[in-house]
Amino acid sequence: MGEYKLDVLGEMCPLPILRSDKLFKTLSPGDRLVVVTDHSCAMKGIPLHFKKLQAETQICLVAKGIWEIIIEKKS
Amino acid sequence: MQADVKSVTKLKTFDFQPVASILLLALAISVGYLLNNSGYKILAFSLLMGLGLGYAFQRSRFCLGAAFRDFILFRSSELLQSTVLLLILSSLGFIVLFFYYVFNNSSLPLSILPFGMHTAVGATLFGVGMVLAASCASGMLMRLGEGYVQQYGTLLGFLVGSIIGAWNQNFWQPIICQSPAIFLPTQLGWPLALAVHLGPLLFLYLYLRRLSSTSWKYTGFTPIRKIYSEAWSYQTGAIVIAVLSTVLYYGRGSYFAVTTGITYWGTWAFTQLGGSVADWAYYQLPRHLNALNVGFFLTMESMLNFGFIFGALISSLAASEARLRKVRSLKHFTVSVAGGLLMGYGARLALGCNIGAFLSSIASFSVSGWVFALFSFLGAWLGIKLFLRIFNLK
Repeated sequence: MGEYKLDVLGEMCPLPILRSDKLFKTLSPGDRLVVVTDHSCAMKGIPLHFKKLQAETQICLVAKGIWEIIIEKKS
Repeated sequence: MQADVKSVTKLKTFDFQPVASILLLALAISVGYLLNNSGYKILAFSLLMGLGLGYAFQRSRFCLGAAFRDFILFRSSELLQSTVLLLILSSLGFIVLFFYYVFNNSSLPLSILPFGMHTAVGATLFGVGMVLAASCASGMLMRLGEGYVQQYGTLLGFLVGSIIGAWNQNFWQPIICQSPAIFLPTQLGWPLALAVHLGPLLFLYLYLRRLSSTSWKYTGFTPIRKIYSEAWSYQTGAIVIAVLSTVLYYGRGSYFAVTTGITYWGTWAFTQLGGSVADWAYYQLPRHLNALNVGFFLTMESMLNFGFIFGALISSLAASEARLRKVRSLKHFTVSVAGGLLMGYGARLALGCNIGAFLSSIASFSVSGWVFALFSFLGAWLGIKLFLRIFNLK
């Protein structure tokens, strides 16, 4: 049940999705990945991408223009 | 809207951004009002439509550059599906305009682009560029407004690319002049043109909808707050953009396009630095010659782009999302500049970008739009190969 943080601040699509996808694949079920991004498209694209992988996602606006996307690996 | 967003935590502290967005909106409208009263009706109109379009693009995160890219890279069909929806709706808007003019015994000013070698080369370069730069021309304007420093690099590349492209028209003009420009309804008649044009679009839409994981459902009345503080769905974006671009076409008599304005900016900078464009074929064309004479910023193309950037900024401020987004590394920045350069040059050859040569062209039943789409898809595929290699991914 680990929590991993991925900082993709300053990176634009498709990098945030590519990097979080790569890291997500190494996680075990129950692990959480927190992606920190300032890319307004990634806050929409990342949840959409991970929905296909059956993962729960949650978005938090943590500062002006910065989002944390919490992705939980199910199985 | 987005079913997967569980909660979006809002900041509790006092927020100046929404206030700033209202002030900016008031400022932009006053500028429009002044322009209108000084006899620049068309500029005022372009400015306001630009504001609306920029707002809609930013709010829905509509990114034409990502439509092909994410489909190729992630088999993600949502954005492409909405892009096809945008094409269908814009085509319908075009039909309404076309027959509105027919019934009023006049004709809609058409702009059917010639297609040929220049479209193929230009669209491919543009496709590669849009993947490298992480946005196409409209996406770049939107992100300039949102505060991405990296996109100022893209703009720099784009300006230089479009100057080279305009200068190179001396070489390309003969090829462009010999190329066919086909408006499907005159070639095939309306019934067959509709079938050939809308048939594949509808098929594509339904096919992509089957692939897509989310389906669009009417979720009841949208609270006003959602209009400015939350991200719209891509479908909502497509509908609003289709309506606005049709109104823009109606109001100014020429379709929604972006890159000509950027080329004017580039040329302005070039002439300020002492360059001369007197012997450029591009600036012999009456339309561009006029821009040269009235001043590059007093054209409707420029004004629309300014409006677009401000619209995106206002949208971003209203949702408290604006910030100066720093560049991650010199590498990121350089790749963006290179992408802008390719897009700028490619757009001049292809006679437009994802907006003018793709969206507006397909919507006007021009064969050139389909040719552009095919080659920019190819370009996006090549661009992805290059991009993954540059960033050591996969």
